[in-house]
Amino acid sequence: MSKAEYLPLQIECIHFFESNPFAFETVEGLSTRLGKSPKELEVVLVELETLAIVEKVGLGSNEIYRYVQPVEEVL
Amino acid sequence: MKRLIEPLLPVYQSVLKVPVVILDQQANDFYKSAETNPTYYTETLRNVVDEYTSFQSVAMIESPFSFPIGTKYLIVSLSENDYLLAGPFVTSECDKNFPKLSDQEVESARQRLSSLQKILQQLNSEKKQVMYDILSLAHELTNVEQQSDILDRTWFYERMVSDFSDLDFAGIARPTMEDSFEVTSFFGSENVSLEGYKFSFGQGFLGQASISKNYKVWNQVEHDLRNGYLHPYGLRPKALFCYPLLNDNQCVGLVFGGTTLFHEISLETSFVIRHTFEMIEQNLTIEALNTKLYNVNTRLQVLKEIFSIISNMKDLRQIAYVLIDMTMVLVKSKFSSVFVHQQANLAAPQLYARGISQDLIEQYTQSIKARYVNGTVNPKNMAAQKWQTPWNEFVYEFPLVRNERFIGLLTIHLPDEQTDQQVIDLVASISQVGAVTIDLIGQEQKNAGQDQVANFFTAVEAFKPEHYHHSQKMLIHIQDFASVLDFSYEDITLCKEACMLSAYSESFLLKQQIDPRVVDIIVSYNQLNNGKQPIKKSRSPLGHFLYIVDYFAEHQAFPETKTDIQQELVLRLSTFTFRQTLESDVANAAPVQQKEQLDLGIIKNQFNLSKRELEVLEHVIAGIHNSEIAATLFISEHTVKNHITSIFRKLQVRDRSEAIAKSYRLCLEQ
Repeated sequence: MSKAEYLPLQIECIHFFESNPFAFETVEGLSTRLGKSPKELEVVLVELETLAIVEKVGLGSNEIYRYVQPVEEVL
Repeated sequence: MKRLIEPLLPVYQSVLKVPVVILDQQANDFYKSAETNPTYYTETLRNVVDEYTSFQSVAMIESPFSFPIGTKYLIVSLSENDYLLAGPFVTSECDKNFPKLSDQEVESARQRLSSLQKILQQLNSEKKQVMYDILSLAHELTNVEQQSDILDRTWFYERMVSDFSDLDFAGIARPTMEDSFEVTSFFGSENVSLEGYKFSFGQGFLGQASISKNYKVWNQVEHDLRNGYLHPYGLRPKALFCYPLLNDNQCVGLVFGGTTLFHEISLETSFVIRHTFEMIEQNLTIEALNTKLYNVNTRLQVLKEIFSIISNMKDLRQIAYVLIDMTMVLVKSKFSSVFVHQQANLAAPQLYARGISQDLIEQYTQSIKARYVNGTVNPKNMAAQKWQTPWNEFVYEFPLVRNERFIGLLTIHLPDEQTDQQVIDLVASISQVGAVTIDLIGQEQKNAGQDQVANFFTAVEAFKPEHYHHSQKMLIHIQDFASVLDFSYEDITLCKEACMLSAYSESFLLKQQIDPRVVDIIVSYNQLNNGKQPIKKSRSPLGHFLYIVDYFAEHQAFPETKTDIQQELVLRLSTFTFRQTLESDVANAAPVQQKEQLDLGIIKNQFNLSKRELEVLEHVIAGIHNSEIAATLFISEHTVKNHITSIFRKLQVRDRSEAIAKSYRLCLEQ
């Protein structure tokens, strides 16, 4: 479990996106909503993007993050 | 230093034949060889210090500086602030009561004190250097945030070599995956590098230290055979030291060093090395404990957060999402999935997954179905287990089980084979939280479904009264027969619901979101009633059971068996009913006959009982408890009690036995 100090923020971030599955947020927007610094959030969002939990759209200051829903298979 | 000499002062007094005292300028620390007057020494010293700045060698203090007047002292400076005074004494005829020393004795005393001064100066200087070395290294260490990092930095060993004149190389060997050691950092004053040197436990000097786990110094090792291991690297030490660094009794590194110039490592160097690395070792232990504590705290916090999030959720899909995402983040897993087994009124089993392609999801779903749903694996008593997927990757599967019921499966992909066991335990705890929450949601929906079933059943009375009364009879037999056949509570409930809803069509029931398992039973039961075999095999045993109960309720006998399932069920039930009949015939034949002949319609008319009250009375006469009556009639226990109170009032009886007796008496009289 690397970067254990970021875990609580990762959980908070995931919870936000799961509760708002259609939200499109910039780092600044997310920072305002969660009350966390953009610098901390950037680290967390990169990690979540690597795990394909969130998806980044756009570049630079126009970067927007959105939640990627898991796939469902009915037996 | 003063404490070191203090025990020697009486010896000096006996040799010098005068009292000996050590004190600083302010007379704060006062060590003396015998009972003396402190004022003599403080006054004398004050006079001398005011006059002189330092004493390079032993000096004689005489009047007018000495106190009392006429006496003499020998004085020697021990350090910047500390002085040794031998006196007071006199050297000539004097009426004062002080020791009298000859010139020869004074000279002898002077020489002895001079020797003492030299020894102390030398000792002082060496200890100072030792202390400097310790403090200097300690300072370096405190400036490094991660203490363990310093051990892998070459400058640290360079510093050691430059600080200790009798060391010209130093380094560290770390344990490798192959249960051996490899030199990872090294500094040598000559053009020699030992980096990459590998050795196993017990091999050579260093390997020996790794076994003993004790600090060791080897002197005079120039011709030792064990030295041969170092020769291929161009290193020919004459003396060596090795400090095994331990953490939780595990050797995490071997710090070593030595000299190619001297045959021995001095005691002072050895002293500093030992104490420095003891300090580093303690710091490493504290660091490791802090990390462990931090991790435990973080994990508890994570578990608390996840529990708080999940416990407020009502949607099964959202819970699955949380379980998938949280475990992926915790394990850094590239694939995670949650399989939810059929829950009460919920739709068919589902698999939620992230991190794998659609075709792999389909493969994995089939694999879960084959192993968990169709029963090749018993998940009830199973803990987390490692499993290789059809596409050859290792995953951990955590069965979601509650009250020995399989609720689902949480799966995480393993990033590598060395996954931390503590993380696995944490995910197991999260899966348990998930199991409880999913089950509770299922229970809530099930309760809501039972109310819905009871309402549908009441409605049957209006449009199919005969079917309704027949179903009521069937319900009583279902309870009796199911307990004989050891049906689970869940299967009994499914059968009862199927019985109550058997008047409705399949399409209507599915539209009303009735539990698909109940619909399956009804379909099978209807097909059997129409002389067909059930198409769906999954729930057919319960369909057969319902068919047998139906026949028995109508004919008081079992049907002719058409299948193996029916044959087995009828065989077991026949044994039961035969035993019941036999026992009743022998012990209580008459009342049984009377009970069968009871016509409660008379009681209903005479005492103006409602339909529901009559139903309750029938159950009371049959000796059924309130809770069972409530379950059979799909009403609450509280309502049953209300009905019974009303029956007692109308029949004018005080308890159940009186009510049963009065019912029998009235029926027989008629």
